[in-house]
Amino acid sequence: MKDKVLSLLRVDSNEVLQWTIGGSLIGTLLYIALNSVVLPKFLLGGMLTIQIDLPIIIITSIAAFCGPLAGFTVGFFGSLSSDLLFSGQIIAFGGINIVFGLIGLVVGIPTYSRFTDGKNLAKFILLSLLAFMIAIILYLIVLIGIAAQSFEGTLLYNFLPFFSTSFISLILVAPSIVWIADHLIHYGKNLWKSRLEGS
Amino acid sequence: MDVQRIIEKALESKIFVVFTVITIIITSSTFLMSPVEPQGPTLGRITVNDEIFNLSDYPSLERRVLGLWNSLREMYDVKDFSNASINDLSILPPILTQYFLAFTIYGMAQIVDSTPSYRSTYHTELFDKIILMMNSSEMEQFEWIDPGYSHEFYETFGNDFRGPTNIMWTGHYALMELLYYNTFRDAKYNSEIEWYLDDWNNTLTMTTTWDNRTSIDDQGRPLGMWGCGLIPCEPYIVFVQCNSIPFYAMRMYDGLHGTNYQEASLPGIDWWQENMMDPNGIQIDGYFNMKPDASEGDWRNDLPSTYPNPALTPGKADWPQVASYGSTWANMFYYAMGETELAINQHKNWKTQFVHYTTENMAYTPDSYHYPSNFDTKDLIGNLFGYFATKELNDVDLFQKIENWFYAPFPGSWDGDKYRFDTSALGDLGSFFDPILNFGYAWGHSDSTLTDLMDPKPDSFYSSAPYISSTDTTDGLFVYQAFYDTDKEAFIVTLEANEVTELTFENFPNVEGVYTKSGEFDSSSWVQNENQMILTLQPGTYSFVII
Repeated sequence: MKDKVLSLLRVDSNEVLQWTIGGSLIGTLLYIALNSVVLPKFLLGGMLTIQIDLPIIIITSIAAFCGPLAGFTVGFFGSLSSDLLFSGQIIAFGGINIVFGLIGLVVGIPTYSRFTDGKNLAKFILLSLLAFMIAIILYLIVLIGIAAQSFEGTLLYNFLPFFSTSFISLILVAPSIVWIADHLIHYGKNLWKSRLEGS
Repeated sequence: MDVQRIIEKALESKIFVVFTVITIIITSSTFLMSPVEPQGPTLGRITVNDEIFNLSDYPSLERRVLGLWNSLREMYDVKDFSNASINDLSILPPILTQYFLAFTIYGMAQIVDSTPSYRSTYHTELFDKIILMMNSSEMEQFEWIDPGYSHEFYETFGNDFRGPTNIMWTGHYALMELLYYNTFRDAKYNSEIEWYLDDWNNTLTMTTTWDNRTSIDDQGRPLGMWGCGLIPCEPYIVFVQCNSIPFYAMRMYDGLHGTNYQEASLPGIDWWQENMMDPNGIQIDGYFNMKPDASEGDWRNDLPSTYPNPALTPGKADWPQVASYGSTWANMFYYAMGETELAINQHKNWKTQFVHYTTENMAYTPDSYHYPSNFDTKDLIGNLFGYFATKELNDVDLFQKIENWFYAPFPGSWDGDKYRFDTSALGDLGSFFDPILNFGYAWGHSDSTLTDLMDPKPDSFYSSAPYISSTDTTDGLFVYQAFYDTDKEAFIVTLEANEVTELTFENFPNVEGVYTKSGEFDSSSWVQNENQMILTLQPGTYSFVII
């Protein structure tokens, strides 16, 4: 049982542990950096926001390559430290940060082989959809239940923008990003290998 | 693996192709569909005879603020002053109309103060129109007669309804008139202003028997007709926020005329701090100093069980009533009138009790911290005044967070020289919210504050310093800066003209030259006409120093 949990979290051997720690660190830093980038957006009917949310893509991408623990770390600590850095504020006692963490946790649970394989990419998209649905429900619960916001205000000001930007980013944009990242990583790995062999 | 191979592989994966195409479409659409907004010019430096003028040292307005002003002008459609008071209230929010009129003027005064050397009918007409509307019989009917009060009712208190039983109307009306004088130094409303000041002074400095006691405080100062140093809004309830308006007006008048009306406000300011504070240090929203008459008692749900006593939070009988709009309104005016320590402390308490942070860059306030926000009119007004108060107290971080929250769902857009936020996302509430949200942004982004207005420029700035007194068109004209620097004897102006525009400068004899960033401006574009200087501009954006 213990072995299963360790292997699920990708901390059961030195090599995967390196990936988990490395992914967590790089992901968290990337999350913070991309959070400071303001991308253009436009409003549909004044409520649905069409915008690419780069930080949330980092959460699922890191989870896809480095597993659930790294995914959770990036989502939770990335958003928490961004909040503290950029606004000095913790929202709803960290409830929102846990929601972001859970997105990474859910997407990272299965093991994926190469994302060049359509099956793996489809699995990633399905898991992203599951994580998205869990996140939007928890997001509402945290803001209304813990932050004691009104339903109407939360819907208009928080939920609809979050729903639309994270749907676009997680379900539509993230898969292409993961595919490209997969190639880059393998290209890098091969380059590294040939160098080692060369020397 | 070379690039060609990667592309070949990419095209093999159908999922990748589909999702990449979607990504490219969405990403490019966010760039393409976000409207490119015309921006005001960047302010640089102009050197004249070895003297450097850094334009950003002078106040300036954003393009949006001017676009919003143009929308306001269209909304009020200033044409027929003889008919100004008739039917026009229909364009205003259907409730809280009197506050909208008053606070619009407070915002407008800050906007004009941002370009203080541009004062023409473009500005005065809008002030006059709104002051007339506030004084209209429609407003009177709406504000007082409809809720069930009549002149006869007020006569039972021995006064007219615009007398000392109604500081809400008299305070706002007199301050609107006073800001007209403060902004344009035109004395046409002064006799009315003085009548109200004397009336307040009389009400606050008399000694009566109130609640079976003589109305005198611990220090022996009179507590006035109502025994609390404050003046009620209806004959039986006093509010901290409503009394902040006359108290601010007294100080502004004193600053302009060297009088000492403000002394009459001091016992009241102490009184509310002792008697109108809830256990968390928040101003109580209403204190009944007598029992309301039957008609009002019917619909109120905040009545105390005995009188005098604070209004109570409905459903929470142990707690006095609080309101975010009331606290923030009071705090900004107390700060502006010079009670800075009191205001900063109250602002701190308000932040602790009321402000919710919903994302890392958004914040809002509910109406009462005893309930979650129910997103009704009072919640919205609480956020509007929270937005103003954070600007006034220079709480830049929270100002930005409230703005992010407040304006997030409402796209703004340009239509010619007019800018407007679209509030249709709010449904029915949008019609109430539309004028408020639009003028609110202009207030928030003006380059002046209520505190600045308390520091009046000398009379000579209005009587003898140069200013732009008229323009032959206001269509497509954006005056970003207009400031006469009396120390350097230089007129700073930055503007954008979209038509051939002629500007008339009053009090400007013996002009030496018009200078731009690249040297002296075409001297055929301006002529001297005795005391006036007339400048004609082709369409374009200009920054000038005129000596």
